[in-house]
Amino acid sequence: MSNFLIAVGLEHYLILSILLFSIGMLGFFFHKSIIMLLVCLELMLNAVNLSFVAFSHFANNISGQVMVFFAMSIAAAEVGVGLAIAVLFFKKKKSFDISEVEKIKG
Amino acid sequence: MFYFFAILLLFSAIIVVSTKNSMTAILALTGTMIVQAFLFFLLKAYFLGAVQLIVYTGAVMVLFVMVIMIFNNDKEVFKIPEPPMSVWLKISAVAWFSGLVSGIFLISKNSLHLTLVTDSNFSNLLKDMSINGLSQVLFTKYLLAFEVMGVFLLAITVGVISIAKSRGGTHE
Repeated sequence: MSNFLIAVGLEHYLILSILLFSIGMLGFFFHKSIIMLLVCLELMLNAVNLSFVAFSHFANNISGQVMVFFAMSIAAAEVGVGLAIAVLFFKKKKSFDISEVEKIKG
Repeated sequence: MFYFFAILLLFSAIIVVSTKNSMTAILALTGTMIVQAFLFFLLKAYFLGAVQLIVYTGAVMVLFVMVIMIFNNDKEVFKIPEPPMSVWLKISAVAWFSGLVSGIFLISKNSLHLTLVTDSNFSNLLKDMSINGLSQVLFTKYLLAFEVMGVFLLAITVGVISIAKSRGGTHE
């Protein structure tokens, strides 16, 4: 057990990634605001990025870092589009409440 | 060092999901990103750490903060949903998920080291995981993906501008 605590390996990073992802998922389920949903999405994406980089480091294979690079670009684009939609939604409904989306028609 | 950053990361992540104020959540998320960039540095992914700092704490957080400050409504957020069963359902769903993933991971821990495949074509120049090696791979093996990403970002830019210029609906 003490060896597990001292020598930081792949397992530690993966456990940290799982915990971070679960926190993001919990927030994603419990928040009502579109902005906070996007924030929790970012948290989950970052957890996955962390596990990618950990795998890349411990497998001595740099392809994982390339994947994280692409994931970051897509995440940035996704935030841009998501925030644009959120702003548009706020202009129409005067609120960020996600349950308002249910009432949209057409 | 790892434990310091890990505890800091989890602490700020918990602040992100548990705070009532949107602005506090955004700032805690910025802290999370910065700590994660330090974790990337710890894993010798220097280029990705720099990109994390620039893209996330630079661009994405500014976007979030701008939207929050323009449309300031701080009356909602973190309402517990009405049926109390639903709360425990959600919590147990998350617990099941994390337990499942960690269980699979613990079971396969012994065979994990066998399945990690080193990329033999590039491994001689990737000893130090430097930015040199990253660019070697990025512009040879993943060149097509890189170009497609450029086209994708252009499409995203045009799409966001058209969303922003529209008046909220096709018939108005």
